Amino acid sequence: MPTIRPAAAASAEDRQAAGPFRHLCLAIGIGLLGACADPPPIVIGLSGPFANPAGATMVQAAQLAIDEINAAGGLRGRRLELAAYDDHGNSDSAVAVAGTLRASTAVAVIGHVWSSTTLAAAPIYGSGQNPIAVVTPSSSAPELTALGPHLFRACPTDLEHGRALADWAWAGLGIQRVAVLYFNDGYGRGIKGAFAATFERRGGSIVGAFPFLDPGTDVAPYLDLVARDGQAQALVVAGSREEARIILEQARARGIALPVLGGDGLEGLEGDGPVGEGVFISNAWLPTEDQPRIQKFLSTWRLRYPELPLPNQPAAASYDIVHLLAVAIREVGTDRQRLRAAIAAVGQTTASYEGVTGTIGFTDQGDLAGRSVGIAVVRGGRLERVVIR
Amino acid sequence: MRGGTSLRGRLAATMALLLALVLVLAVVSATAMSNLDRATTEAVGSLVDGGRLRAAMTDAITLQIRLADRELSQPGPDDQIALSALTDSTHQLHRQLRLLKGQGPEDQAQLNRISEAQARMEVAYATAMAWQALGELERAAAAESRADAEAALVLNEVRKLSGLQWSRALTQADDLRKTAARLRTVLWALFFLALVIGVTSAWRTIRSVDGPLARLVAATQRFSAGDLRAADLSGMPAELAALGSAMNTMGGRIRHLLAAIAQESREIGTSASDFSAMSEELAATSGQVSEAMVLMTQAADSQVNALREADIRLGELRESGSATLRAAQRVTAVAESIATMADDHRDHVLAASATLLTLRETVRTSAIEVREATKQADRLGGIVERDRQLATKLGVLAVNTSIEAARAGTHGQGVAAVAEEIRLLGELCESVAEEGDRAVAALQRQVHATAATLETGTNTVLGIEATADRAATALAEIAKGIAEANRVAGRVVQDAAAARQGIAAMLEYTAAVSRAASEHAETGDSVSAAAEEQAAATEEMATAAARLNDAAQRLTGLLDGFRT
Repeated sequence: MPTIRPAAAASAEDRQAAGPFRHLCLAIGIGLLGACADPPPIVIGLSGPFANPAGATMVQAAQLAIDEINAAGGLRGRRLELAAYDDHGNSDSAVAVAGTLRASTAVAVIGHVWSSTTLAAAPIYGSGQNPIAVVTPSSSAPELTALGPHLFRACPTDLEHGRALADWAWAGLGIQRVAVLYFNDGYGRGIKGAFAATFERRGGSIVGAFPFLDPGTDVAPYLDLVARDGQAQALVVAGSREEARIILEQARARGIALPVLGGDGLEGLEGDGPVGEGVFISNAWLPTEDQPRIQKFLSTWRLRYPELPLPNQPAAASYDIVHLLAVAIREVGTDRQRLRAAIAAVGQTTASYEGVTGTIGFTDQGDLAGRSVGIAVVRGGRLERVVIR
Repeated sequence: MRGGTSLRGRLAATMALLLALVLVLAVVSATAMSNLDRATTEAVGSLVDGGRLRAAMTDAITLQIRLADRELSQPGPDDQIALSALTDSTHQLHRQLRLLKGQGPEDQAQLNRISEAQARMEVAYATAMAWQALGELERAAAAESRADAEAALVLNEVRKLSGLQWSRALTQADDLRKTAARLRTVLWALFFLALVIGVTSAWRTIRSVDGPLARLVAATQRFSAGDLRAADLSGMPAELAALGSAMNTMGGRIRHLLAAIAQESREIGTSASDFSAMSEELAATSGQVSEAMVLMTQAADSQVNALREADIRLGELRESGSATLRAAQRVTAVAESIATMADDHRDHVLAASATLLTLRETVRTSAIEVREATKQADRLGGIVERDRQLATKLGVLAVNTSIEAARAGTHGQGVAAVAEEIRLLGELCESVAEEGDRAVAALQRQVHATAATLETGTNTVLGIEATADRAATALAEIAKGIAEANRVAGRVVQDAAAARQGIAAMLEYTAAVSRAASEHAETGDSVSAAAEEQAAATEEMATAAARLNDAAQRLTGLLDGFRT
């Protein structure tokens, strides 16, 4: 299992070690080790909110992929190693982690999970004398598009989620007016903006767009307005699973029984009991999909981590990204810039990678190319696909 | 500098080094200036963009606050739409601020604080408006108050960001100044390094060219002074080495040439000495030839004289023969007359005896003349023998002359011609001697026979006085004897005729020998003249040999001025 380091501690440690003495010692150490020991491992960085359900299993998924690669002989005669840093879902921590990983021997980074943390950390990864490529498994905010040549993502953007939700609401549910409650960050604003654009283009109307940060206090007046006005035919919640659960509880408490739709941030809500029943969730990947590749991955997962829940999309995407990086490293080596170019070429000048989450290829702006989003509904504590992606 | 490289290569290497230094200096300067310019541009651009974005964000947030306040005081759909658009615009500005170049973690953290404060402000305003819409004015006021606080915080955080970025800009400016100063120092150091390297390289190049060039000049001067020893070409540039090599090659050839000339001059001196000696020998031989020619001429003259004497004697002998013939004819006639008279006149026997006495005297006289002819014939044989000796000497002389002519080579061609003439003269003398010998032998035989006959007649006549008395009685015998005498006289006539013919032939031979002797004399004169010419030529040859020897010695003296 990889060592998960606190972001602050790691940052201080790396700042201390970032001096010339460290480089000298590192060079001497590498020389001595090269003369009498195995070659140093190839390090891949990983960062996310490991205490949050969204990022709770991504370390295990990435480690599973690394173990598979090492079991097959490693890469270019070297072992693969994971360096995981918890960003706590906090932008400042994400910035510190980014500085640490950029200064480390890591050749690439998998992370972060939230769009806000990725938005804060991406400029750090892409700056300096030796920038490092970062591939996020789940940050879907449109603000991340073309944020820099070193940022890639293995998930659809919020434009896809918002568009899928709007289409389903309009065409699937026959809804014409909705109220949107969105977490006031890049992700929430992305879902809100994409949904509103598609929905209004189809003829629907947004009767209210309500930002929140603390759903326990912020959404009460919004829900009261929705309940009082009675215009909204559905609620769109653009936030996380926890936030959605709180909002749903407050809405149910106010007698609001409107259909609820949400983005992939609500993934896992099916495990929160009856409050989530009937909620429509857009998603790029579901572990319940009956595909051989997914089932094989889940079988391996269960054998390796029988005590853990099934992996979510960020975890599955992290697993895929490790294998994708392995392909690129095997091809071009561990030089960061060559590796970045090799990642950028995936799906363009080189073949796309067929992973557990589907086909991975990147646009020239770093987004995932050609991946559609499906709609699932929470029913009986499970997510059931209602729109095939 | 390494030895053996070409002058062009050394100069090219030096120029290349200087150019490389200039190029490196230029590249380093250009790169450094470019980097400095880029850093300055980035810093200034970042500063300008950051200032512009921060100002725009400040304006947007200020407007956002104003619109929110107006929406709270006078709600309207237009302000909500404008506020929503302004919110999106503010977040775009926020994103652009994140992407500014040169931002560090502190900037991103400050942006996070701004973003979070702005999010809180927006949520506060939104909840305030919702509360107000719900008629919950106190809650709305409370929320608005939080919003105002968050707005103030946002603006404060933006100002902090401005201060942070200004501070970083000042730090960057200070870094740029330090970088520029460091760059200036490095460039000066590089310039002085390039100058030192360039001057050192140029000095080394000049020294590497000047030294070998001076050595080459010294070697050339030695050559001009006659010291043809090879120049030392070690360490010379290729071009100078090629020049020196050519000079050494030329010196080597001159050395070989001088050695050959010295050898030839020595051989010429030796040949001149030999030639001089040979000229002296030839001169001596010419004297001998001249003496021999004089002797030969004298011998020829003597021969001519002898032959003239012989001719005279032969003429006399011919006359004597004629007389003998006439006497024999007269004896015959007398004998016939005596026989007739003896037959007719015994008395006339006495007269006949007297006539016989006369005859006896005549015979005696003939015998004396025959003996004289014999003597002349013997003398003629001596002349012929001397002629043979002369021919032998001429032959020896011709052989010697031929040998000397062969020694003289082309210079002895005249002598060879003389030797050939001498040889021909010898052969002619030999031939004349043989012919004379044969003629003299025949003459002697005839003369001896005549002498014997005359002796017999004499002996016969000697008893005539004693037998005169018996003459009458023995007239018959006398007649018989006269018949016999007549027969003998006929025979004497025949022999006298033969002798006359032989004498005539001998006269012809003698004339031929005389002519040959005259020719010998003339040839001897020619040979003597040729010998004199040869002597003169020999002197000229000796003079030429002496001059040749002198020239060879002068040449050797000249060669002594060279050191090889």
